[in-house]
Amino acid sequence: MSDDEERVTMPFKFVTGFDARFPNQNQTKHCWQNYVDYHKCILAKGEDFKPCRQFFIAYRSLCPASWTARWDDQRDAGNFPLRLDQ
Amino acid sequence: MFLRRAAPALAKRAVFRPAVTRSFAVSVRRWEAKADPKIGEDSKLLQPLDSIKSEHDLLPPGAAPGTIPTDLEQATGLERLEILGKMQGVDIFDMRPLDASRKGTLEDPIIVKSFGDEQFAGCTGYPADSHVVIWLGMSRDRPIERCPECGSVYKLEYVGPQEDPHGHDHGHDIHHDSDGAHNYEGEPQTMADFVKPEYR
Amino acid sequence: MSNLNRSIFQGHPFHLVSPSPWPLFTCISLLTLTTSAVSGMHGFESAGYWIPSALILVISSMFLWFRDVISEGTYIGNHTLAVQKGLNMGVALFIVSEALFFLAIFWAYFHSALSPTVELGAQWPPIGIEAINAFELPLLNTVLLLASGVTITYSHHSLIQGNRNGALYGAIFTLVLALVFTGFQGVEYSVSSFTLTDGAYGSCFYFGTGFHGLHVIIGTIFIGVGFWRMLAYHLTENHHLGLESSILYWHFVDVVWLFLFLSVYYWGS
Repeated sequence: MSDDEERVTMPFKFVTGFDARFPNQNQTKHCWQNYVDYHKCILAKGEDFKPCRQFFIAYRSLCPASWTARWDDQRDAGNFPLRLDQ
Repeated sequence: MFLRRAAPALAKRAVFRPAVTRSFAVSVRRWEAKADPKIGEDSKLLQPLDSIKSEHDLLPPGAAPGTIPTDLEQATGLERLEILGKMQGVDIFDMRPLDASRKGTLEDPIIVKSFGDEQFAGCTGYPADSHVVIWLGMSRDRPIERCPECGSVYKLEYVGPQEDPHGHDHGHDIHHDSDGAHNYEGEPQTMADFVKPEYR
Repeated sequence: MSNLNRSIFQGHPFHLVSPSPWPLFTCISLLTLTTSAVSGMHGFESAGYWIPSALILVISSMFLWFRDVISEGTYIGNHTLAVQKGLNMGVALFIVSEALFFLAIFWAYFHSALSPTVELGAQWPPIGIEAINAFELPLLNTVLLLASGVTITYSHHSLIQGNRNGALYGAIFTLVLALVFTGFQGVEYSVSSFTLTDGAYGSCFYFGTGFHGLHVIIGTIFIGVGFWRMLAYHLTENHHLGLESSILYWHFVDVVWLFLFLSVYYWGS
């Protein structure tokens, strides 16, 4: 390949660092938990609450875009499988 | 989780281990007095074994209506024979294994009793389990068999029903023109024929 | 006893069963039942006729086979002690196999319930499912089954002691309790807010309680047969393996219900 010298191999690192609650390969729950925590956070504290951003960054990096899009649609339609206000 | 599921199943089985003896149910006292026959008492419930000559003799006397029958009143057939035998101290099913207390010889063979015209015996030598099981087939035509591994001699003793000369077909292993043991027409030859005539 | 007389009867205590068509008949009926049920679940219309016919075939094959077993044991006397032990072992092994069957059902339930998927909202019961209050009808059902265990034990002990009335009434009360249980489960099913098709929860719930209910019905029939045999004087105070087997099966059904109650109704709500 022409631009080999620009590619560098690096070990995988999560954007948000290691989360001991989800140590294994399957990170589905990790993605889900951060999505849920973010939306619960802004529902409870408002959109400008800075610490919520941590969850936002986490789920944006972890979750496939199709999942977050589906969940956004579910929330808009009132079909989201979790009560976000509890 | 597996243990949790297995434990009750195992516990239930353990309760049942001593199959039909009343070891776990402590009901001993009888509600209505139904006395078992006493020793020496003459009772139609307890026939002496010697008086049993046919299936008909093993029909039970039956219990009174409105009561729970006891085994002696109601058991029939082979079950009744077993119970009567036990009560009179006779084990009618001799399920003991082949006698392995010694090595059989031609002068003193190990006797194998049989109700039938043929009988198999599995020799494992003396003392028992000395060698792999070698199956020997004895018949009324050839009652003596020797184990090829250890040489132990077994002899068939026929204790079954006597032959009825007017009766039906005999087993095809019984040959009439023999001397009761060997030498019938067409009997296959074995090593014994070629070694010594006494071995027949 | 002379050898001559003894040799009229068979030398060994075991029962070598005479040729019988019922095993083959049972196989055919079971095959019909399974294939018709599967084809029904895959939308074939003809199953509507085949499934009930197959059920009738299975029930009749069981009836005819066990009728023969009863004849051989009670009327002919083939069930010597050795045979009884074998039958006992057979029943125990059968119940173990049933226990393993329920193990699989519980496994499926815990697989879904211990780590609920994100589609369910990572919670159990999943969102939208109104779990049944364990301390209403299910608790009553638990009491009914435990009471039926007591009544059948009373019946059994009465039989051993020679108390015919006690034995019969104990069995009748057991049957009544069992039927009431089944009726209440039917009520529960009809008023439930969720069905079999309602996601993992619905599937697991009806899989477990449904098969348990079928086993209750089978156990009820088993005890019913025992009761009829007591009425007909088949059973003696010592030899009544059929009744003892039905009692063991009933206790097994009761234990499965207790597990169901604790893990599905109570923990799962």
